[in-house]
Amino acid sequence: MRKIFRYSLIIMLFHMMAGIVLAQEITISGNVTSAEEGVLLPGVNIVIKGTTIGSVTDLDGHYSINAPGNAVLEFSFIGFEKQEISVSNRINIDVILSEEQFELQEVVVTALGIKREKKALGYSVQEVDGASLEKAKEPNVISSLTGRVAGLVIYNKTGLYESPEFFLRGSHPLIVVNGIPNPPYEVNGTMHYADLWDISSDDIENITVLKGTTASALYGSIGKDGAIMITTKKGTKDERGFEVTFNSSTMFEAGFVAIPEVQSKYGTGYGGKYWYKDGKGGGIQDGSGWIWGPELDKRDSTTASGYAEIAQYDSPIDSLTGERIPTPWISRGKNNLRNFLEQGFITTNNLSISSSNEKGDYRISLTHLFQNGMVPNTKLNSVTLSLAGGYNLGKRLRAEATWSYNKQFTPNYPRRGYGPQNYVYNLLLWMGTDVDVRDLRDYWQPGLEGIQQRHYNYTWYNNPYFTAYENLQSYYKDVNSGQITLTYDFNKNLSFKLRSGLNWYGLMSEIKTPKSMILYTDPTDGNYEMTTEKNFNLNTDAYLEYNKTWNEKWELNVTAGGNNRWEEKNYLWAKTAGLNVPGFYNISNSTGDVTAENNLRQKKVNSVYGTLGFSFRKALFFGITGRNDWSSALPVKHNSYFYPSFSLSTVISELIKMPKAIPFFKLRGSWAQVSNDLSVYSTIPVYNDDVNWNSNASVYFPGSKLNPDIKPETSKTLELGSDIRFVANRIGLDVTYYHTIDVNDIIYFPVSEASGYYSKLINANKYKREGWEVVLNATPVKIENSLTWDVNFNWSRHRRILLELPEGINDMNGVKIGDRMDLMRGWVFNRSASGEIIYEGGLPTWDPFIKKLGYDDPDWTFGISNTFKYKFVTLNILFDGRYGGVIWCQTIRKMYWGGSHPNTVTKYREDELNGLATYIGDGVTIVSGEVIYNAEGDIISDTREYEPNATQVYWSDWCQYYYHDVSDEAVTFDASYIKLRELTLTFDLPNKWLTHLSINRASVSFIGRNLWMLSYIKYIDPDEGRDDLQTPSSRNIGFNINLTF
Amino acid sequence: MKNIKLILIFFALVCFGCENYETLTKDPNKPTEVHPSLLLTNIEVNTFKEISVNAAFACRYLVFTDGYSTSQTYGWQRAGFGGYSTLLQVYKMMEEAGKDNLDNYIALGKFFRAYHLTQMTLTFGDIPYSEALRGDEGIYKPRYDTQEDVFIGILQELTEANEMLDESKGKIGGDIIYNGDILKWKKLINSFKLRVLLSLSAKEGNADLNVAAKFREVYENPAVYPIFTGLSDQGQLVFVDRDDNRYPIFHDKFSTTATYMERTFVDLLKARRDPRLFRYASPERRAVEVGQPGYQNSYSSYGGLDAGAYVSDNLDKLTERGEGSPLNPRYHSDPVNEPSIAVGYPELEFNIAEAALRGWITADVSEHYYKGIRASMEFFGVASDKINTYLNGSLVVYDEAKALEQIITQKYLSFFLNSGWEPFYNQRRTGFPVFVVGPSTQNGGQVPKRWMYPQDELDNNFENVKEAIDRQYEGNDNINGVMWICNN
Repeated sequence: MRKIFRYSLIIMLFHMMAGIVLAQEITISGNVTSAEEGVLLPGVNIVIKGTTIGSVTDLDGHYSINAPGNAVLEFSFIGFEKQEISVSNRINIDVILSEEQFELQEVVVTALGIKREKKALGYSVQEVDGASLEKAKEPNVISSLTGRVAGLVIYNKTGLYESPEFFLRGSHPLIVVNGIPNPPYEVNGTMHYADLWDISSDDIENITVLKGTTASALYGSIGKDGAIMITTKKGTKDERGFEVTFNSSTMFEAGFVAIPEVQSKYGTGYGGKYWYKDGKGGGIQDGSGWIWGPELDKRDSTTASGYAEIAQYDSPIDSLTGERIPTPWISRGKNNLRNFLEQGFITTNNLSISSSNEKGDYRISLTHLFQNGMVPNTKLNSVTLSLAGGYNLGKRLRAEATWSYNKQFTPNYPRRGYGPQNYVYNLLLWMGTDVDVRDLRDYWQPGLEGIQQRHYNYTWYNNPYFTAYENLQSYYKDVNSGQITLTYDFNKNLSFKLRSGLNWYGLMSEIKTPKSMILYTDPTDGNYEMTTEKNFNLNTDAYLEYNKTWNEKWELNVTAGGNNRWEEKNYLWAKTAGLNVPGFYNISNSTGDVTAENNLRQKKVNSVYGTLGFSFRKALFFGITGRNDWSSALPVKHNSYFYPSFSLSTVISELIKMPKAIPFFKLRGSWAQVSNDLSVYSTIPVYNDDVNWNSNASVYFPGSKLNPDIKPETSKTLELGSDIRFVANRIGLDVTYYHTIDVNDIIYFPVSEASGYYSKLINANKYKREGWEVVLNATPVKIENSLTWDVNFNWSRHRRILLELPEGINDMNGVKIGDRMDLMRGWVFNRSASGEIIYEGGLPTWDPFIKKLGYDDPDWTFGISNTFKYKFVTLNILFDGRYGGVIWCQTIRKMYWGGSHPNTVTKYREDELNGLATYIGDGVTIVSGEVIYNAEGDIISDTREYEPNATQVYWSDWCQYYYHDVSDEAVTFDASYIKLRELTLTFDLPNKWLTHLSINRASVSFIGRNLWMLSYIKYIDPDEGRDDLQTPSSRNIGFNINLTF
Repeated sequence: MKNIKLILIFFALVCFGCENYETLTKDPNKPTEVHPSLLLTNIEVNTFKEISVNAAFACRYLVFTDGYSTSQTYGWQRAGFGGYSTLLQVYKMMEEAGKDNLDNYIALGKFFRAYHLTQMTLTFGDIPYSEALRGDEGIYKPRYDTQEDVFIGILQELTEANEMLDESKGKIGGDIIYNGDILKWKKLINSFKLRVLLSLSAKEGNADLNVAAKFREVYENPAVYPIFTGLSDQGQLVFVDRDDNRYPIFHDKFSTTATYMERTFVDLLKARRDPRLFRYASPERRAVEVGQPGYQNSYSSYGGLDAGAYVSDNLDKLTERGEGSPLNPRYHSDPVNEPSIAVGYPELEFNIAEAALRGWITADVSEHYYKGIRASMEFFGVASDKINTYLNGSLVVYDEAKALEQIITQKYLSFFLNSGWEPFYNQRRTGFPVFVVGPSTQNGGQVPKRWMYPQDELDNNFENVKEAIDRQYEGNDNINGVMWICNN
């Protein structure tokens, strides 16, 4: 007995073991049909899970496969939900596959942090995931959005610490962080908009762009032009409940996509002459600073060096005569700009710890950004500490809070603008290549350290190393922002939310001007000026939210609440009048009277608002909002304004049976009205401080007439859009059209100066803003476990047109009714009826009436992002561009004027140096007759007869006249461009390398930003939108490491 | 209950900003009312700074060498209505003074109105006057008055200003020109009135203006109409070495390296052996290089460049031959230099001489002619024995046959970098001296007679400016148009 038992056991064990290790293979077969229609499905993939062994259903939907009896089979087919079925030793298994239910379940964060399903929204919203901002970092996070959002146009700047300018549908959007808005404010007539220097892109969970008026009607008038809502990361979603992340990006400047070049055939001087004596005009043209001087590198057999020799600033002085001994006049400084600029790089490092469980979650993150500027002695540091936490205080009450502290500090960042404080002015425009900038590195005159700079020109220019190391512009800013949100759920339908947030910053900035620094008119005694600012915004919202569903068909949501906003700004500026002790920068070190100014601005806005939303069968959505603001910036008698909005959207694919290829089709429409107040203190006229003459103070009365009856300005927007998904969500197309009418615009309308005033503040004009936005998402290739290719394409067009003017006015600054508001006017050449330039005395003449040059804004903009993913490699390529618009280029204009532009080297220039005037301008001269204009500039009669211009002039006279003195036309160019904005190649490191390092996930990426550009203008990057002596536009290449523990 | 406490704490935060709305509409940083003296200082700075390098180019005192200046090539087109902006400040000063019946400020206001309106009408022709500066009444598109009506108004306001000024009507504060001296203000107002009357010399026969009689009225009644009696009376702004108070072209780069004397002007001075040459100019580079002892005080060390030549030709002279006297360095390296004369005493003497010459008053032409020259010499620091020698020079000694030319030429020589565009208007009126032209001169080689109306007026006040252009210049606003004051 025992033996049989033993044998049975062994056989049972054997079977069990066999079952585990070597289960018997059986043949399984069956049919696969579709659930909805009952049809047999050919081409269905069947795979034994955990292996690569598989089969396919035949044309009759029948399959057959050999597999172990305990295997699991996976059935998959495009458009259908995958199924896993355990064989369990069955030999006949029929499978029914269900069609993939396309649920647009995306939830987006809308105004006030209210979450809504995207399909319920009647207005246009676009999201950018924080992950796409993770690898290739720009110093300012807004730049990373370039080309990613239709309707958001960003003008990136090339210089260190220059804030990008960004526009949403042509206007400045509101920045909201974690539900707390950061409103713009005005200082001395200039509007300051929130910059995003204090936000680390490593802290960003996602960015939602609420594009139109409707979207942000809930923020009130500050949200009139849309909002960019940034949500920061909170506690981790990692299933382990704990996550530590380290992310590091470093990029180096690797060449330039746009950098000006200068000619090196002719050097400093004027009229082909130069002889240095004192740099102040005591020699020959040694003070005037032009680059129309003698020819460089000219051979001369009579001199010792073999080259023509001229007295220069560093020529040795003959001890007997006291005169300079001429030295070879050669192009020592051919590469001055590139030799001067240093290696720029930017590195961003972030460490974050986050944790979550059922009761609460938290996240702590520390980011450090360091950018080394290309201009010597310039740098930027930014450190951000972010804390976020949430805790359930009870079953019904939850508290969430975020706080972030950011410190931006730089002891020196480059000075901008056209003038001798800017290194581009001193080095690129006005330094001939006879001077090697590297020779100027010792910038003090021996024995006069701290008192007198050493340079080759002491009238107009500064030694670029002198300004880089001694003229310092510093900036120290501490930003604190945080908010606390309390949510109390009364029951599953009703909740109350209280959110209070503040944004507080303190800043100090200084400008240290050393002795002997040349500015346009200041005496050269040095100076110190400092500004301190304290800014405090407090924003509180309290509202009730009610949601209820009936019959699973009808849904209602209602919110009702109020908001209080307080803005306060304190400002103090002081400046010395000459320095006593050189190099000692303190207000107390002033030789003359210190000038100072202080300013306080306060504003309060209170509001009540409510929203009502209905939906039917999750297919038809209807919403209403209403808000009333009371603003202290408006006159008390009409400081209250109300504005409503309506929206309707329908998911047609839920209501009507759509073809299988179009699983989702939604139409949306909305209408909203928003009113807006104006800057504080604009209704009561005041006197401004003016010149103090010998201790006599004086004031002046501003020439802009204020208006105590000013009313709020109002915008009414109609937006229509459609959202279609094709081919099982492989293609998604979102098209939006918007049309806004702005009325009662609060503007300073120009008036005749003879009235005493030059403008008056009125409600006037009617504008139309309209445009199109197209967002296309597609996945052209999607091969399981192999290659995926995603494309995201954005395109937008925006126009702002003048519709109405006040009675009796024909135009506003040249813009007539029907014209685009971004019209640019300027001085153009005087031309004959057939378009030829009219010359007089061999030089071009200009039209006495100002004319249209073009438009400032582009015609349309686009961005296209391609992501290729193959196993563990991801490649992302982003292109973006703008088409249309013009840009007036100061750099190019001055290069022609100064003689440094490569195009100024012609045979005519050579002739001029030989005393010959040989250039004949291409145009005509008037032989007889005259033109008569009416007062408006229209030609009433034109009897002019022409002949081709035949007067020879000196080349430099013509060049200076044509490009600089006469017209703006010659230096206004088409601003269109296309850029390869970003390229990232990411390798996700395989798990097996990581496990023994206890790293959960890791990736290494090669990154590049601003890699390549195609445009119409040489030397200048049109991305900036303007050229006021741009810093060269650099290409940045580097790498990123991302580790998750 | 702990929860309710938390909620209440947060509501407390909401109470921030409990200031009421009324208070928050007021700007805490700036005053809504001021004493008129605070406006007076600013107005005076803007009125008495009459140093114009552009006028110097146009009137052939100086030449620009860093390219072309349209002031020099006569290629200008439009000018601006900036004078009305200053008059807004004047309007406010008169308004603030009216609140406390401080009539002296109102009187000064009338003078400033007359001064700036004169400048503007001489620039353009017809300008807004009766409807001007009434933006507070809602008049934003003022009508253009005829130049004749404008001058009638200007003369009326000057008469009223003189009458109104009185010691008893309150002390004048903030006065950086005369420090509240009522008598000196009267002298300025009446001396300026004489300038205006003389500028209407082509309208001697006009009965509404009655210029000759009005001139005589002022000149013969010094008790009622005091006028300047010496340099200390003249209307000038004194500079100070403080930020924003310095001589206007102090440290100006173009004045340092690209501004040279004009040949015809230097020739006029050299021909008369005029010692003011050494105060206006520096020796030419070729004289400096030769370095003969005492060359700085030798007339042959000085010369000029050509206002009508191409820049390259002038540069050739400068660089190849070392010709061309630079501007005297005191103008750009001395922060205080000399005061800016707006209405000068030498000019007054020349005006009296010319009025006597025209028979408007009974006076000795030569006496006032010599007084004018002497006064100008003294202003520029020339020693009195040198002045006497100068007055006996053959071209300077009074010659009745060439009286007008002599008077105007001497007035021209005294106007170097002072009195704004007066030398230009005098040349337009009398033809003296001849302004040289050449190949670089635009406008067909003609000296322009005016400036075109501002582009802003076309944009913002079209119907009215069009009406003015139509009735004066047959609808063609151009710089050669002959305005009413230039017609006989």
